[in-house]
Amino acid sequence: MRALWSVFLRELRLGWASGSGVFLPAGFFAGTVFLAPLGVGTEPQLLKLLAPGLIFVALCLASLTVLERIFQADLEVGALDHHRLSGQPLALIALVKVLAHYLLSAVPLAVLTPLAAIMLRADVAPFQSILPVLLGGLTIFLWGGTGAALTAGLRRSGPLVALIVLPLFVPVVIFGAEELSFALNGEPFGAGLTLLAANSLAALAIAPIAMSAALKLD
Amino acid sequence: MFSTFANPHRFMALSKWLLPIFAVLGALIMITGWYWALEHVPPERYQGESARIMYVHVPAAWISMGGYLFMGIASLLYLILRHSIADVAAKSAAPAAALFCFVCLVTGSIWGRPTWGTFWIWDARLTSMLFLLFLILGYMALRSAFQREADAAKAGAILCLVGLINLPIIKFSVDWWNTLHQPASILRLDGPSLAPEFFWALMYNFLGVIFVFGALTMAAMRAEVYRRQYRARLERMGDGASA
Repeated sequence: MRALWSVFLRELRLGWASGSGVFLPAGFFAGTVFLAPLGVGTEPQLLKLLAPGLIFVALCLASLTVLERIFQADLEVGALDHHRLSGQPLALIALVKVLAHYLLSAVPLAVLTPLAAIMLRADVAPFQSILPVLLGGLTIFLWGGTGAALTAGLRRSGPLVALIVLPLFVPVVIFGAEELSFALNGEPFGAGLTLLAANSLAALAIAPIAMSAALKLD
Repeated sequence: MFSTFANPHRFMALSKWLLPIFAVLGALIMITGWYWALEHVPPERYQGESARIMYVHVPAAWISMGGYLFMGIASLLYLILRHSIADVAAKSAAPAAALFCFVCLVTGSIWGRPTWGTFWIWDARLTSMLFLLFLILGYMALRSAFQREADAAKAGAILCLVGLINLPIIKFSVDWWNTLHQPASILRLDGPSLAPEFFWALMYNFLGVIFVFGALTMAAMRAEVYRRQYRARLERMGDGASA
């Protein structure tokens, strides 16, 4: 347990110290969202309609900018070998690493969501509008982490990770954007939020096993 | 039982006979099936002649999903039993599955033009097929990025299984998102709602596509086995020269 905790803290420190863990995805997220009005125009009705979808697409893309490197860096400096020798199950270590990056990178995006929604002319941006992004972000990070683990040994893996995991993001974008649009219209959440949570739980059960199998490649 | 067929020599001996049989049967059934569908099946009441593209479109959709399932089973067998022929099967089925997926999307959009008035509709089934195509292409891209065959095999198998687990979730979510397509008409509890003359022509065409898929996969598998034998021999020769 203490070994896992130290892995968790190490990831947080590394991500925080480099500054890229928090600010890079947040900047990417904001840039993507705010580029849209320049492309489609500033019509309030249109922007309001596009807001949930745009936010979720930006969330997927911003996550990929972080995820690409999470196992690659460990492989390069040899930390992965330490993890494997630590006696802890590799699946749990991979899960802890993903959760640390989720906390560092996805949670700020969720906090930014009401702000982005207001700038996209949503009528209301209640506090609970961060919930679909929090739940969806977990699934995105788990599957994205799986893609990153599969390609950890490869050079220039970024576009490849994107290609192999984007189909896995389909349910998140569908349920997440739907529930976010409910929140931004001041309506209660529907069944999609439960399905979003169920999808996260399924990913929580399967992705760590897939990640540990992928990291034992060589 | 799996171990019996896992021997590459036995596979090569068997497929030497089976491949031409599958290829000839597939070509024959497909050509006669198209003739049947184009000339003998009566035109559909509402869609008229354009519904005939169904006899290419629907079998292609089924076989690409079946092909992905085949890849998933082969990947699972490879991860458990470590027989290289299972990996060869998964790798070789991918291009054929992608091809039929592409055929399904193209014929679907050609059919959509007169029927829906547009080439593309973000309809649930078309969208699911589109993401199936992305899954298969991602699998092929991941495999081709590895230098060592053993790495490619294991990474590909893991991705294929992750995709297979997610496929029903993707399908369900896309159905939830949009159902503009007509409801399912073949697999229903009260039997097929398709008139028997359409149904048997469709099944006959499906049979043809199964043989064609089998022939394509088997041909690719044979080429892959030869490629690996050649590479192994090359490595042995290299070792001999350096010693």
